[in-house]
Amino acid sequence: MTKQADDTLHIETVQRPALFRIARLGSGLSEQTILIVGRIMLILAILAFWQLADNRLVPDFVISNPVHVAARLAHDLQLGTIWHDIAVTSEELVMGYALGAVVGIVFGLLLGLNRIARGIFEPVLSAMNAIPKVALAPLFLIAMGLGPGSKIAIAAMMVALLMFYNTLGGMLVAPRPLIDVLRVIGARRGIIVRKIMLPFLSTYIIAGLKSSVPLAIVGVIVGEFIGASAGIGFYIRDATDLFDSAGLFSGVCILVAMTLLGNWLVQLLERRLLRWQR
Amino acid sequence: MSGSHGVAVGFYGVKKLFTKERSRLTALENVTLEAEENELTCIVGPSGCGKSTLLNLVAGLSPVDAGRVEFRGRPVTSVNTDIGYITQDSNLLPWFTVLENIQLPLDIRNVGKTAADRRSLARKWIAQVGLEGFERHYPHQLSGGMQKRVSIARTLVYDPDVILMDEPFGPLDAITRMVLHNLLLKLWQERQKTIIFVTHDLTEAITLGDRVVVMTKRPGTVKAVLSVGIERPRDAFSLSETPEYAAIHRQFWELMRSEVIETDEGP
Repeated sequence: MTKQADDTLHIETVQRPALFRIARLGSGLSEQTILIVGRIMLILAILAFWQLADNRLVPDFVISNPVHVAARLAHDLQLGTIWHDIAVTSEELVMGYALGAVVGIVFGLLLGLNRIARGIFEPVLSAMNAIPKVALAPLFLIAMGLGPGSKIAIAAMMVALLMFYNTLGGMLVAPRPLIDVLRVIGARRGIIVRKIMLPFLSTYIIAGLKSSVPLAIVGVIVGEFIGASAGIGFYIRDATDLFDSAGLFSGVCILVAMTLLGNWLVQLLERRLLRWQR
Repeated sequence: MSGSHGVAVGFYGVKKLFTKERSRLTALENVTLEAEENELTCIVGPSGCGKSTLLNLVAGLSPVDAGRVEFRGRPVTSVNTDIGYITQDSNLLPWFTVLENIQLPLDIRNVGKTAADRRSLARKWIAQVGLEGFERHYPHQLSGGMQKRVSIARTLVYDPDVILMDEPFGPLDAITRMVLHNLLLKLWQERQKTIIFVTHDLTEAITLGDRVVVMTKRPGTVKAVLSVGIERPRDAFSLSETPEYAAIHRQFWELMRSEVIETDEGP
């Protein structure tokens, strides 16, 4: 026992200075710089590994390689046909996201305000939420056809359920003591909604809007996979049918760019609405 | 304004029950008590004796189960907007700055002619509680003591004649408490508002109060009402060293001890 404890101590005293040395090595640079350089190096390492693995570890038709994907992306973007796909998917995304967000928030507010209505709707909505939403996607295509409408509906449904639960969750934990303080000061319902409920809910709504960005993209792309005549999902599906992995990855790159753009827009909104949290 | 006499708040045979999942708890039993205008009445009692409930009844935030609560001779039946209520937690709106929080009651009650009037009044109170330079800070950027100052200013800014305070300095460290006791004593000295101050701390009650109401443990009822004969103006820092303070403390503690000790060793 004593021997073991001694060993542990010994190891620690040897390791500590080593760690300090690494820290000192970077002490000339700011932590920010080290992080940025580290991240770039990690990405480059992954790309290099991908490039080297192609046709050596994994056949080319499965993973392609970064150089081919970049060339393919540049080619398609120059040629111009892919811009139509981007436009179609973007439209479906924006419409589905906005529609879902509005419906979800409004429903969350209404059920949050009315206990009876909440009791009636909750079980059905919980059951709906238990269904893996993507599984319902084919239904929307049967009902609404191959056009953008079905994709908008799928994305809207997924976003709406999430936004509904986030908004309702916020309503149910409304800060009672703050409301009481304002009532004693003389505030009426309208002032309490404006000065307490909406700012309070903004945290929950923003959190929902953040998670909704990738959700809406999943909804739209799944819809386009199942049946479409344009869109990035259709473009990826088309490439897959031809064993064109470079095309598949180009499509994925565009989706990543869309997600990042969406996240950035929500972040701008967050910075405006949640200033008080920082 | 000061010098008006009479009963500001009266409790007459008040009973209050709390029902929670079929079990019933009697929080207050047959409480009869009067708080005079322009006096600082402290209510002391062990935790859970229903002291805070008394204030909620005056504020009209919950109804009595028997008896009645009167505010300036009229029974309290709905939310009482003639009072100021400084709650145990600061309860500031976290999305508003210090200035916005203090100005909010003025906006709600439409005090002053213009928004600029309200703003300058709010600024005056920020200075009164010693928070100049923090106007644009959000509550989470302030220490607990500073948040308390904001919550005190938010209530005093609209000049209610009767102020309820519910253990407002409870969670603060001893020095901050003494500083805020002095601030409260100073403000009271200037305006002589009617204040009902709830605390579980006998020391605090003697430091601040004109009269001290000792409550029994649950179900809470009034055990004794005592006058604190210590002269004003008082100084919170040196008060506890005076012999009269020690005598009063000993006398009050004899009354309270049985309540506290039974609570601690109760079933």
